[in-house]
Amino acid sequence: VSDFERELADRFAELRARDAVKAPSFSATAQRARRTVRVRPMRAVFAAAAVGVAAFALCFARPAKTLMSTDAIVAWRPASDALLPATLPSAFGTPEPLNASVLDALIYPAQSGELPR
Amino acid sequence: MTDVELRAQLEREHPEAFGWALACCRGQRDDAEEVMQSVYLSVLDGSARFDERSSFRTWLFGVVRLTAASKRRTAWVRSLLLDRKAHRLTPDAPVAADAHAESSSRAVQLRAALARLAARQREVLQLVFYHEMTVEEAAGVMGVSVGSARTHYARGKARMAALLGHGGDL
Repeated sequence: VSDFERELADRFAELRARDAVKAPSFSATAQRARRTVRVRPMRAVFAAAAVGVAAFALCFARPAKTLMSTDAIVAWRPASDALLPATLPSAFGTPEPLNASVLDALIYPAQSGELPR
Repeated sequence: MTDVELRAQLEREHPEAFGWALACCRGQRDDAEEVMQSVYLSVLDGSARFDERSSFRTWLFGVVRLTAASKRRTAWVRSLLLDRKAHRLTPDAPVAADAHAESSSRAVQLRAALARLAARQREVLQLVFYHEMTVEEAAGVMGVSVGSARTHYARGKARMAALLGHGGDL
């Protein structure tokens, strides 16, 4: 063992003696740790309860909110509605009868023996 | 090992383990106390188990070292997230000034010199000189090979000699 190692060992011994004075007792430290053990499960219970409340709030509060917003959309009318009083038939003329086609004019002359021009 | 035996072993090693926790927390007493509480908590709730692959002391010191490192990381991440000034447990934080006047200037010098060493060098010197372990035991606590621990030991000693102004043989 060199002189320096001996000196280092002496210095460390001084440091150790100084730290030993400041060290808390084992029982106090262990007791605090045990208290934390007891607190931990309580924390888990509170966290689970908070998650439950949040889930409940999401499930039951959301549909009511959606319903209200649907009502609002249904009730809404555009401001330009007043500019369009005309009904559909009057705007576009009389609609074609059912089963009629624009090709009827071409087909019926062909059946009577005339060729279409 | 029964609970009673475990408790007795912990109590026997407590002063030494606290000294080691202090070293892992760069001399911060409050942090060292918190680390020791967390260590006892993990031993009591069974998350840290002594499997008798090493001596009880080596195992306990390893748990203290890992717990202190984990707390340091948590504090660092928190300080980053909350954008606060660096927490005192961050790796580059300076050694805290002791609230009580230092009784021994040699102890102060030693603590200051230790703070300037690389982490591995500081750890191996602390374990060998403060806790009177062999380099092999220190390697077990640090989780490195014996060869690596020997290298850190030699380099740490040389650096300490320079920092403490010791020109003689090492």
